[in-house]
Amino acid sequence: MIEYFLAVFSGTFVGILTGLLPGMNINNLLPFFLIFTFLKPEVLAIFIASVAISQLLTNFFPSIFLGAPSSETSISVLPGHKLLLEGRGYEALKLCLSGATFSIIFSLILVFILSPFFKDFYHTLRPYVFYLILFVSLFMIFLEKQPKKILFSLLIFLLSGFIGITTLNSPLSSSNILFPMLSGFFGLSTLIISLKEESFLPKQKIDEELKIKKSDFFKSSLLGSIFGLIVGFLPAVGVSQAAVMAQTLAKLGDPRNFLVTIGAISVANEIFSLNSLYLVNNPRSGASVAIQRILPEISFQDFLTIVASILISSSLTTAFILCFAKRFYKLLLKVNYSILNIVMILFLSFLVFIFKGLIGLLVFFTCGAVGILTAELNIKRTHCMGCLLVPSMIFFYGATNNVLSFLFG
Amino acid sequence: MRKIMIVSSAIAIFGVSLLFYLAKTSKPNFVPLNEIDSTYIGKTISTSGRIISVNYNKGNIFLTIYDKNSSINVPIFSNVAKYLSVNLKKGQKIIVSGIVDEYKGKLQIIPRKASDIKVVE
Repeated sequence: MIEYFLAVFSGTFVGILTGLLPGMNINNLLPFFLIFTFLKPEVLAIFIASVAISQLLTNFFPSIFLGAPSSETSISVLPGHKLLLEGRGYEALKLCLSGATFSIIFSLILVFILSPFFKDFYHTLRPYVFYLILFVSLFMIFLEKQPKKILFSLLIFLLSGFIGITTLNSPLSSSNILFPMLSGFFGLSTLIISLKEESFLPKQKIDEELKIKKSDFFKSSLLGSIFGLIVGFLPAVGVSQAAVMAQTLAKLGDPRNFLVTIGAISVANEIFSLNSLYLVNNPRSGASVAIQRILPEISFQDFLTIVASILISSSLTTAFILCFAKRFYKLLLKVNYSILNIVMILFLSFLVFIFKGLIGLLVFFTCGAVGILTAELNIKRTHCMGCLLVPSMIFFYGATNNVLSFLFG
Repeated sequence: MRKIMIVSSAIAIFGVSLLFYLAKTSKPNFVPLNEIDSTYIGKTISTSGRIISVNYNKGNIFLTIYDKNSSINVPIFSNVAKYLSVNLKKGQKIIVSGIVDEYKGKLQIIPRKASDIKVVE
């Protein structure tokens, strides 16, 4: 039993360390972890699940406080940065982490209620996913209301979609290419706009109060868990697409509701990916693919043990990151915010180059430019999510090969 | 028009054009067959394996290739199959490029054109 706890603690520690570094995805670490064959398979699976969840939650910290997101937390930059500039960065972080923690409970309830239907869930849902994404995309574009803005939104959506197809589906596609793409659209553009507008970081309010109604909090967390279920079961749909779908369909205009939902989706996705592995032996996340290799026949007891480790790891990470944020913001206030933005741009560029080389830098700066253009056109930057929604749409329509043949021969 | 808008538009147009050119001229990454998993769904990759089954059906060819204890299905649809210059047989080793997809819970790699399938042995 003690080895299980040690696996959770050490996994949480590794997850926090690597989560503070944007771009360090669990998929980069998995080949290294899979060498630990001297450990019992269950212990190694718990370790990997703890690293995955802890890294995911820690990622919210650089995303909100430094504008330096990972691919899973990229969409949290916009509402997170908005609250940071209002002096509520700590609250933004707490909203994400609380949403994530509550979604564990909601996800487990959903797992037990819906388990008998899960086996057919994927096949039943798949034919309708194209229409769902199409509806969400059109709805998102037409929310702009003014004809000129609708036209600009459509153009940005299609341009981002083209970048998405080029980088995710074409021969250029490779693992972790999402990092430069989403960091460019949401991270780099936010940092450059802050720099241009000479934004300054106001004194942060570090109180435990969350300025969100309890009912809204539970609604957003439950909504995140439900969308996490969709991500956890469907291929080619990630946390960011689900967050945009949830935001658009539930009209989550308030940044606080949106942050709770993003936190919830991230964790629920991991739980449902594991559930998908247990029920249909079909892993959906990088961590669950690795767990499948270690535990080819995952039992219900294994599933519950791993979920328990996720619960412990997420609680430890939440407590640690909130304590860390309380101390870190004081340091942040001492630094000139413009200089900090420049340092973060250089740091992100360096990480992109290390992880993805020159192609990564090209994607990063191109997407950054589109992100800035979107802000300058005074339309929502979530239209840049066309980079994920368009490839998903053509995938579920079954037209990826035709589109690739048409575009690239 | 504001200066930042002109600069960002120029970078965006240049970047997208260069990405398009690179995507058109690059070769897909090679992924060993035993490393292909669901995280590759939607990506264009290249892999190799030995043909362990071949089925011809209404102009389509359905292959299963095997390497290092793993196998994957390779459906070659009639629009591609009709341009194949080689006769695919059991036991041949091939390199195949295409997009990874999932059909009835099993992964498959779908070639886009006849040149995506090369017999190497």
